[in-house]
Amino acid sequence: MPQEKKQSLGESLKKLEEIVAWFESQEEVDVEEGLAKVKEGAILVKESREKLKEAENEFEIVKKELEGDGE
Amino acid sequence: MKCVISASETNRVFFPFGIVLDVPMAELSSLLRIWRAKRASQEGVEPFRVLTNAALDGIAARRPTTPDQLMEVKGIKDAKCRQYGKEILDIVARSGPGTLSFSGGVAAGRDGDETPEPTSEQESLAGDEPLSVGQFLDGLNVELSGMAARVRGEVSSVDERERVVYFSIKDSTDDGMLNCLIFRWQYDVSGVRLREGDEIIVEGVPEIWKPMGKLSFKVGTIEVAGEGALKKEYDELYRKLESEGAFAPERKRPLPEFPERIALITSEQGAAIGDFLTNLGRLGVRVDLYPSSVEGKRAVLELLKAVRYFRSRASLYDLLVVIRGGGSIESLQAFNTEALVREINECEIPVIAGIGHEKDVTLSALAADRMVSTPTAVARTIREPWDRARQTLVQSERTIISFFEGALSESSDRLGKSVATFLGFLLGVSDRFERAKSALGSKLSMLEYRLRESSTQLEGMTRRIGEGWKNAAKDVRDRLSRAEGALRQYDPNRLLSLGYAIVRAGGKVLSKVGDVSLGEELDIRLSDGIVTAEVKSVSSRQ
Repeated sequence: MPQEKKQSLGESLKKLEEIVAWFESQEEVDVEEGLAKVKEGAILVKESREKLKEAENEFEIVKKELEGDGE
Repeated sequence: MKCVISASETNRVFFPFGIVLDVPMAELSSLLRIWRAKRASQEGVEPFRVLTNAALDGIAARRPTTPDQLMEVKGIKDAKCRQYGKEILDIVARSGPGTLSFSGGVAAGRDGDETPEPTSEQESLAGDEPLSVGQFLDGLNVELSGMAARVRGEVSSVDERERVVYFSIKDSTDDGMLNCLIFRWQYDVSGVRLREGDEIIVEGVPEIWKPMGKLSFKVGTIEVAGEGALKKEYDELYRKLESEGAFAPERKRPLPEFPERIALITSEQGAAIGDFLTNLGRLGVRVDLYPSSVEGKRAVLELLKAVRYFRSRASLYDLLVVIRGGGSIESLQAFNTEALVREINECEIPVIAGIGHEKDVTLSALAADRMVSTPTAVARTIREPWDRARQTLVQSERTIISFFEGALSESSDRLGKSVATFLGFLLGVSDRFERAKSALGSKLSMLEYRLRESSTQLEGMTRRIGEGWKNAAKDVRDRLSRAEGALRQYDPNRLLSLGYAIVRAGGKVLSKVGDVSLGEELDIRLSDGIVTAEVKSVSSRQ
């Protein structure tokens, strides 16, 4: 489960960088194609931002659990 | 024999012990040591850092009842008094003077006389049932169990058995000698190899082995004493592990970019954990702490337990963090212990270590997948991909917008240019004007349609990616209306209505006098119709 989210964040960022590279490599940007790329980029930005949103860390002490284990 | 104390010469070994300390004092001393052990383990430090043996004995001897009296004890200053004063005074108050820890025991010889007369002993114990040897030894062992200590000495003999290692230590200055034993598994974990003549520090509890009536020091931890010896141990272990490839670069795994569950091993006390959690920032990750002492050799067992705990749940964690504040090579000993280094080396979870020490990097840190100097540096290393990703986002967004803006303004430039070309064409060839105009009209409406379409899409985008779009679209619209204005200005009809006329001869538009000859018929186009005229005369302006 965490694996999935992690990868998709990494992948989103990679795709985003690809779109930027595309824009940078075009001599003349085709308006139609550019619009499509921008639309895709906007969605990726939104998704990634959601995942990178600042949030409190959860903190737990696990030793107590262990003492219950009788180790 | 009625009294075991005077029973035989063999008992003399511990006989003095029983009488040098009077019982209440010994008991208080034990209580204080038990309290100290508990406190030390709570704080994750070595017991002597809480209070020294001398200080404990001082308290037991003076039995202070107020903080001021407590401060009179050597080794107890303001800070210690504030920190522990209340607890200590409580313990003193609870152990009332004269309490005997076991009946008929070693209450004798309160005056500290090492060889009390057996008769006085018998008198003082008159009326009590004599103890069996076993009972007496059991009683002694109860007392001794409270006398945990840290002892330094030189190894004088070693006998390694399958389950237990027997050894003895002595002082190099006099002939004091202590029999010690340590369980094999603890010995293996300690990482120390005992050799005669080595200077070591042992920590443990004294106990009498009843069948032989022999005092043994049951050792829990062994450490090598002295920086020089430690360094030697360190170097030897380093070479051994190095040759096995434990520190090889190809063993190092990359740390996960965005770990979500972080396993943390450090002390609950101390600055390390605070530094780590504060500098980690708000990543929305989960941090599971397995508290362990991190100070000195005694920490090895706890650290091992902690690493094993997380290893047994390896699939739950993306990253294992092991941190502590810096310290001397002595206080970092646990991290230079073979068992721990191997445990970290074999850990299924990628490990990052921040066991900060600049001069002597610990072997545990070398065995980790990544080592940085401090807990703060560990936190920064973990959050770095997050920070980078956030930056990438902002930059990507900006680049995409600015490139698209550029593309839009370029196409509106091209639109402007083609309108101008068109106009030039129209003015030159005015008889095609109507056709051209309608053609232009349809081109314009097509362009307008395209632009509207783009701007509708743009409006949809604006909500997500910001301002730029509206401006660009407006810019295009402005250019378009300017172009329309220009077009209107040059409309031939408008010129005709102002009084200009188009004159044709034989179907060709005239612009120079040389183009006509006398008597030729001309068609003159005015705003509302055509007049036919004949050339009467021709005169050039020059």
